[in-house]
Amino acid sequence: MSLAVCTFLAWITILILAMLPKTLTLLEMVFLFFVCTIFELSIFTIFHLNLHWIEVSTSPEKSFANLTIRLICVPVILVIISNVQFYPSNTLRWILLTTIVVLGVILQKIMQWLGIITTPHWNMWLTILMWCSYFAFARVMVWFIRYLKKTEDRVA
Amino acid sequence: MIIYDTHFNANEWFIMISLCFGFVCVAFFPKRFPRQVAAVFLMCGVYSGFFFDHSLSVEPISFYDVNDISKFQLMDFLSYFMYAPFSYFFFYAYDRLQLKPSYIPLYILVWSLASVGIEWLAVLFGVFHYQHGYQLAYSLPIYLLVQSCWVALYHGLKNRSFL
Repeated sequence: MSLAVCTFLAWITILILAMLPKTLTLLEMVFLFFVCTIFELSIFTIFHLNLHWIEVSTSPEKSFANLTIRLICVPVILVIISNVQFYPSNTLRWILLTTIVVLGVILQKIMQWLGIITTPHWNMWLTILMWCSYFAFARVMVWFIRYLKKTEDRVA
Repeated sequence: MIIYDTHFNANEWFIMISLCFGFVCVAFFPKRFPRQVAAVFLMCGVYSGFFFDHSLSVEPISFYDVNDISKFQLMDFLSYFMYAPFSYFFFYAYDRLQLKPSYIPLYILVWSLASVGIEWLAVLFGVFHYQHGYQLAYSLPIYLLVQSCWVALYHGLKNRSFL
C-alpha cells in the first residue's frame, strides 16, 4: 500500500513537471535535480541517522516507499519550484510557492499516516522550515548554474 | 551504531588525496565542455554515489557503511565528491574518442572495471565496510548500469545541442 501510494505521488509530480511551462533549460533542470537530491538526502540523513528526529520504518516496502519520495518526489518538486520562481506574475508565483509548502506538509503527514516515517522530535514548523531551506538552496543553485553560463558568455 | 575507528587515518587521507588529485586534473586538463555542461558532468558522479549509497547502505538493507562510523559525517559527504572527477573524465574521454556505437559497451565495461578497481582500493583504505554478505563483485552491475545511464545522458544532451 505505502509503496503504491508513494510511487503514485512520485508519478504525479513527474506529470506536473512534464506539463508545466518551463522557464529553465533542460541542462539547468538536470543540474538542479542532481544537486537538490544531494542536498535533500544529506539533510534528511542528518535528521534521521545522526539526530534521530525522524525514524524510517525498517520494513522493506516502507523503506522503498521512503526512497521513492526522497529520490524522485522531493527533487522533482524542487525542480518544479525553480521553474515557478521565474514566472512573470508575482501573485501566481507566491500562490504556487505557498501551495507547494502546504503540499510538502501534507506529504509528510501522509508518510506518517502510512507508517513510513515516525517523527518523535518534530513539528509542522520544522517541516515548513525544511521546505523553505530546500527552496532557498534550489534558488541559489539556479543562480549558480546561470552564473556559469553568464561568465562563459562574457569570456567569449 | 558501529564504530570502525575514531582517528584521522588511512580512509580520510585516501579521500583527501583523491579529491585533490581529481580536481587538480579537472582544472589542468584542456577544457572540452561549456561550463554548465561540465558542472552537470561533475555532479553526475556525486549524484550517482549519493543515489546508490543512500539506497544500499541504509536500513533495511544496509549493505555497507562509509568511513569511521555508521552515522553521516562530514567526511562521508566529502567522499561522494571523489566521484565527481571520475564522472567528468568518463564524459571527457567518451567525447574525445567519439566511439562507434559498437564499441560503447566495451568502453562502459572498461570504465566499470576501473571503478571496481578504485572501489577495491577504497575498501582497502577503510572507506567502505561491507556487511550482510555484500561483496565487491556486486558493484560491477551497478557501475555498468550507472555508466550506461551516463552515456544515455551524454547523447540526450548532445541531441539537444548542449555539447
